[in-house]
Amino acid sequence: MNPIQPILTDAAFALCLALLLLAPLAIAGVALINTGLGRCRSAAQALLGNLVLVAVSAIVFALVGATFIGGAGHVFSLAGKPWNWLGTAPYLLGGLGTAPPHAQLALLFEFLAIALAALIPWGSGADRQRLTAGCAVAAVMAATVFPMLVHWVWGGGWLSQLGMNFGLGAGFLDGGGAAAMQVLGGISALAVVWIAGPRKGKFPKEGLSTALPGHNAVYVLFGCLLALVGWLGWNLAGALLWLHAPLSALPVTAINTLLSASGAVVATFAVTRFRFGKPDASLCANGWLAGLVASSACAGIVTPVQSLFVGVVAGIITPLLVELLELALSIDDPSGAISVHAVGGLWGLLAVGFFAPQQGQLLAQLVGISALLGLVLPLVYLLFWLLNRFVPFRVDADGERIGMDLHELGGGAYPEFVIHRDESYR
Amino acid sequence: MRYSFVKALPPIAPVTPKGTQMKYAGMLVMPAGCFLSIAALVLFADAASRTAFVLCGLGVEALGLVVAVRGHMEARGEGLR
Repeated sequence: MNPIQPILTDAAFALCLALLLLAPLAIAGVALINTGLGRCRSAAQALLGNLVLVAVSAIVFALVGATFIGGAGHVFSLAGKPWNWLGTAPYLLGGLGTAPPHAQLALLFEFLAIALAALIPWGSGADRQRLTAGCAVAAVMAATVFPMLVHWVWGGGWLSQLGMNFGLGAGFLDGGGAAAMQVLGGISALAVVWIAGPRKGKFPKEGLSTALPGHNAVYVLFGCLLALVGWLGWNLAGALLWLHAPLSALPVTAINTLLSASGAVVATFAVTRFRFGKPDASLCANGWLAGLVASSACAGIVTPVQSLFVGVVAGIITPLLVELLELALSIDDPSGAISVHAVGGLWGLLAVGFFAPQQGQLLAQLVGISALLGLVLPLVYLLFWLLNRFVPFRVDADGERIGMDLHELGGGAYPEFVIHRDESYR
Repeated sequence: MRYSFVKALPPIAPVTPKGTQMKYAGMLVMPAGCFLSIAALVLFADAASRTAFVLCGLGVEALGLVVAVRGHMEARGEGLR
């Protein structure tokens, strides 16, 4: 990726801004999906958490994280090559008003990206993660790992310079935030799930894991439709900002996004129909989202047929992986974020390597994936492990029993609607 | 037996359970794989050697991840016992 920022025409600037204003719909979609896939006695806490996490991540990113995303950066030299690993920008968004239009749009993109990335682990910790802990996780992500990764990928960091320094294609390519947003969110979800542990009763001592289905499939599926609009905005704006695509390339990028999601949901529909006899609504939603996530990496690069292929593969992998994580690996991930965001994003990034025309692009993508798994995942786990010592992630047993709504908020999401008698009322 | 009292001592419990130790070990292995991938770029000029070493690096990371996942499952089992 070329770290030199191009000058946007007025038309491209206006279009990019308008596209970025669609991106919050993706955040709203993911928030609805997170809420719908949790239990009804935690619904208000889940949706309030989504709202607060967006706010916390934006504030922390403005105060701390934005300082490390761009500029000349901290560089060390190894084997005669510069390794730019951390950005340096003015404190507290200083000079933003006079910054070039491209830089302002890039910052807006990054603000929206951290807001979405922070929601992904929140969905995985549903029904047992405390709201304070969720805010702390979002703050840590916005202050440390996210800006570092953004600098590596988009801010002229070492991954973006792989092409210039080592002749690997155009450097690590991530047009719509598959690495800095989706994979980061997915591996943060894995760390949160590992640290918080499974929901009470999810994995009994004997027998298979207990199914704890989401409480509102309508929220989940409507969230998927909202997410499509937001993702279109994100992928098109990313193509302009990070891939430097001309305006004429945007319709294909939009078609690729739609085709990837469509291929994924049809594939998931078929897989779940084949495996369970009937299609599974929540897994189909996961498949749709995995197609969108995979398109984040490659929609601006591949052809429509390739995009459909990428989506179909994502849609096949996702339901199988959700099942594997739960049944074989004892990982309780209510929103399926690890399969959808981490694995879907990694698959999209790999697909860029397969289909991009540049020589050496596959190797650049593999090095990027290696950095995400080998550096970012252990770092995120370490940070969250330390954070858990000060702000315990998991609610106490009583809170989990009565539900997060009553325990943390003092009132439920559906106060006059008794769904069933359960142990908390006995 | 001359030192039979040794047997009477209770076994020393590890500071952290075995599963948790495995998880930490897996997490430590993963950066090693990444450094292997990065070293490939610095050490080799031809694409074939670089690709082979980067794939080896990814393999090491995958092994680390497998160990961490196994550690998670062990730790869960220890928690249940």
